[in-house]
Amino acid sequence: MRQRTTNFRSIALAAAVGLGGVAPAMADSMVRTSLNADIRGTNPGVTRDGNTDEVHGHMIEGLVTYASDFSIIPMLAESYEISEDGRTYTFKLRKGVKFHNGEEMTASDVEWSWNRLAGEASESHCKNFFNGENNIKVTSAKAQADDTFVITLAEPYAVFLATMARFDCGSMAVLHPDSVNADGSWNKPIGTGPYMMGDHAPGRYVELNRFEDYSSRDGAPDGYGGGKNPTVDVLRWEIVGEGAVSKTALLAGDLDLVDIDAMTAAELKDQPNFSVDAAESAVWDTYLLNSDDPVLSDVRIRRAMAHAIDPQRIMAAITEGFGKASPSPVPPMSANYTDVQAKYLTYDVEKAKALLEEAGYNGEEITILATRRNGAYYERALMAQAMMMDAGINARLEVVEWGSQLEAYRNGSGYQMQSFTFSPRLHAGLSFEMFTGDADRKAWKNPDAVAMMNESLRTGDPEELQAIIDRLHEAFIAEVPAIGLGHRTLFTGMSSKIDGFENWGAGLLRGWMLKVKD
Amino acid sequence: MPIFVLKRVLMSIPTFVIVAVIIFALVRALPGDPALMMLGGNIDDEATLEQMRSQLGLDQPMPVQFIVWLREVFSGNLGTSIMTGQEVGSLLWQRFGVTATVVLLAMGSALLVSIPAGLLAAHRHNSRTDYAIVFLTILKLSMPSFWVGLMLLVLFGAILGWLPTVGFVSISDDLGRGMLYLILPVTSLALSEIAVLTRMMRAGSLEIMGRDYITHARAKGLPERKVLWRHVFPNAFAPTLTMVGVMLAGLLAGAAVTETVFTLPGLGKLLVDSIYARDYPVLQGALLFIAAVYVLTNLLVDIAYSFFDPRVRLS
Repeated sequence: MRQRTTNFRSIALAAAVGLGGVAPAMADSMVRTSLNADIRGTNPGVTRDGNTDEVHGHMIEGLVTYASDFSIIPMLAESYEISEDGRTYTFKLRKGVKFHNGEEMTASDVEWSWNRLAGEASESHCKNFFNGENNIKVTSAKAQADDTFVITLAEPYAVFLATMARFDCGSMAVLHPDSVNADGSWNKPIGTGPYMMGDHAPGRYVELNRFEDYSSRDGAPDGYGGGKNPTVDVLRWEIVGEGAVSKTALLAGDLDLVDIDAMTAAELKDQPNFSVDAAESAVWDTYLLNSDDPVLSDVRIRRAMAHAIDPQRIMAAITEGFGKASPSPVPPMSANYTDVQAKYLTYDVEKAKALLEEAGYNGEEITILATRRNGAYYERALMAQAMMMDAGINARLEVVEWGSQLEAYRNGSGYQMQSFTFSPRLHAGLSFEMFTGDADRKAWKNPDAVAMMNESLRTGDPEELQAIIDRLHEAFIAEVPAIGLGHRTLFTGMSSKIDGFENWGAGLLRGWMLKVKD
Repeated sequence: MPIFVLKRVLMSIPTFVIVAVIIFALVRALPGDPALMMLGGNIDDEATLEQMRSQLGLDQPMPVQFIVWLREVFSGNLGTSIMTGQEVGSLLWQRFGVTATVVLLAMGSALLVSIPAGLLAAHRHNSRTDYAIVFLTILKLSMPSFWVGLMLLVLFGAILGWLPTVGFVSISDDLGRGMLYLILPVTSLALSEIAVLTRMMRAGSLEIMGRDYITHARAKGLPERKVLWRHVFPNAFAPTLTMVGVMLAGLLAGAAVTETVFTLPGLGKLLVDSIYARDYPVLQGALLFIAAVYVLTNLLVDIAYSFFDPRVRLS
């Protein structure tokens, strides 16, 4: 179909070019994908959101990053050592790493970059991760030699490296100081990543160009690190607000690779000239329960709700059969996901009814808050409502705009149950921390659970960590502060000319792995 | 006429002040915290949120925020976008340029089709031609714009492969390629306008055709074409012109659906994005800009009346 009809477009384009007199610039090789909204800026860790992080992640790198199994691996660091007391981290830098302006990276660049994001004058939210506001207090971060950078903490903290590797901080990106102007204002990202900033037409597209002098690590790609040997000359993200339009553009050959929903994946998977990648991510789809609510304060009601909901059926339905339930907050690809994390309150309507009776439930209304935002928030809530009603729970669905739901989440009030999603947390302790704590928005405020969670973030011993995570999970099942569904399946549709694509738990595109077939 | 225009401009000043107060109040009444939205939703610490609020000036009391904004607006500064850091004024102007190009081309095409179609349907009242025109306009009116846009993309982009499905090239950068990217959005928008305007033109023409002066014109032997264009058209077009004014203002204020489907970086898309992102400066600036577009468009339509309807005098 496309072969037959592209002639017309060629003629139309030729005519159009005749009118305008300028031929479109064609790169040697280009992969066109899409973002549902424009990037917020080019300043990593400062002007950011999820879309922006994905683009920045191709231009910048930090000392460490996440591997496929979410362990921490060196990136710009050749290696690192942790002192006996767990307070001092000494990073040996890789030699010969070049910035996009051709200059070689030194430890003084690393120090400058650290202060840019974590220093007192920083505009980045990342500084609060290291100034003691959130447990980690960095007392010094200094270049010790040209190839040595040392960070000292006030107290040992096990997730320090994982915090350094956060995507929203660009893995504490190492940039060349010329990334800012003489007056300190932002200029452009001069990083060490495999791609460098290209053309950005706000509201239309953003392009990155391959960095020819990129200094790759040896070995295969691993998570967000490992060897990166980009072959595609230009990566281009078109700004396409509507999923249906992205799908049409993929079918038309105007985009090469797009995020798609489960229904589109089911449609495309058997079509020639296209392929579909479905991968489980660390994005956790869940129902948050408000234990402060008079009805839901009774754990028997919350347990009854968990028994009334069948995560297997819901996950199968929203993923068109591609996905499966994994109710634990710890994602299955995590090294800390064991048989313990596989346990959950199974679907059992009779048990739900018995628990409701035991709790003296008298048909009080339970409202499920949801939004029609992408991510099947509404569909998940709708199915839970039907299942809860089947078990005799008077469930009502309230659909609100995303901003309103977010407000209810943040205040920890204005809802009884809400269909919610947490972005990937790549440390098992953080998987619990996202909904456990004293803050209003945390669904699990039990002091014992909070203490265990804090302990999980401090311990550096893998066995001890596993034991704490197991205890946390058992308590999570017993208290039901949330009903987990599963870890979202991410679908990517591709034209047959794309090779090398692999999704991974964090869900961020890794353009350096892509290849364009001849 | 200059006095009429001056009066209308002066009358619009209190309108703008009232609109500004309403906009500010409504925007702040929106549920949702811009700082939280900017940080990606489920951010975990209060200090980060406070820092972001302070950077955005949202930690100031509401009246202070309003006075600061109004002072800046009167000095010609609409602020900078929370999301992208761009100047709101230049952002609005850029985006308006895209919307205006599409809307004016669509409106022009729609008038070229709907005026003769409406006149023809009225002239051949109750004939097959009339029924066909009425049927087609009703058919189009009953189709949602979003769906029509997508179908055009599927047909001309995915199935026939004739036209691009995503992207935009400004005609000021490259006229030829720019036009190629405009064909589908202009067609989609024009189809909706054609349906409404044809029906308006037909109804207006039918009413005029029953008047004595039309019978008189025919009786004195004027050819039917001349009767239609010289006597029916100017009189029947006045109510259609009112509709053109209202539609034009509405579309210039942002054809959000069309812009979303055809990935046009226009004013409507900007407005929708700024609502979702709680980008207060852009949202406030865009709404104020839209109020100005409405005032200006209505002024121009009022001036245009005097050309079509001799009974209207600008005094």
